[in-house]
Amino acid sequence: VRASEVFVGGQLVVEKGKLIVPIEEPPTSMSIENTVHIQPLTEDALTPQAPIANGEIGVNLMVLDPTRLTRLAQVTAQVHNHKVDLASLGEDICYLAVVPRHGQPHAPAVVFLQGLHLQRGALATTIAHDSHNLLVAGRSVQDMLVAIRALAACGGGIAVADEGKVLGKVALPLAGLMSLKPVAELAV
Amino acid sequence: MQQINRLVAQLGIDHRARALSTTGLALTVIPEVRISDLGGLLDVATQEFIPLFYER
Repeated sequence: VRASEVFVGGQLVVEKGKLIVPIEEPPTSMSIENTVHIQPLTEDALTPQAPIANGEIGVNLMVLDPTRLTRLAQVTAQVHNHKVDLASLGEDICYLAVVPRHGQPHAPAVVFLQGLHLQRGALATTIAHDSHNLLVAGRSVQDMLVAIRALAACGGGIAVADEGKVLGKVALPLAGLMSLKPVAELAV
Repeated sequence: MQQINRLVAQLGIDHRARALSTTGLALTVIPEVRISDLGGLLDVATQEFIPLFYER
């Protein structure tokens, strides 16, 4: 069954299957563009600081399974100058950070993630359920910063960086979640 | 999206969701541990934060 005519409140709005009245944009009470508001960041803000200067320490590790469920693993890591040696945590390790992007004053949270299979560079996104802060995974803190700044500049979306450069991004300027581009264009 | 998915694959991520592989890692209701901007590692079952480091 396909409707050929649609009436709303007594008014014909669809005739022969085509919309014949304009649809006005509803008023919004808040702007949904330029929604990436992050505090100035340095590499230190994305680098976990171990409580010991040098030596070995226990690390609680987030492990991502192929099912997309996660579990906790406990490993021993080597520390140099309060910085954890990523290689000492095991194979397939990267940093994972949540950067507040709604104007919150608190610093990013950073953990270690295993199982993403990220071999180099960084992947950042403002699609990060449920709060949709800016979530960034990376092997290099420098690349994570590059990706974060790229998303801050375009109003959010997905960005990939490697060796200090943005390799590509998908801008999602509406609330950092959506684009006004046609699906066919965005899908490419 | 296809372009960004190709770039993500070049970096090594081979999860089916590709560029969207991380989008659920901060969803603090999916087992067993997630990341929260309010305190880092979170035990989803107890909703308590897990310290990143511990003494061996």
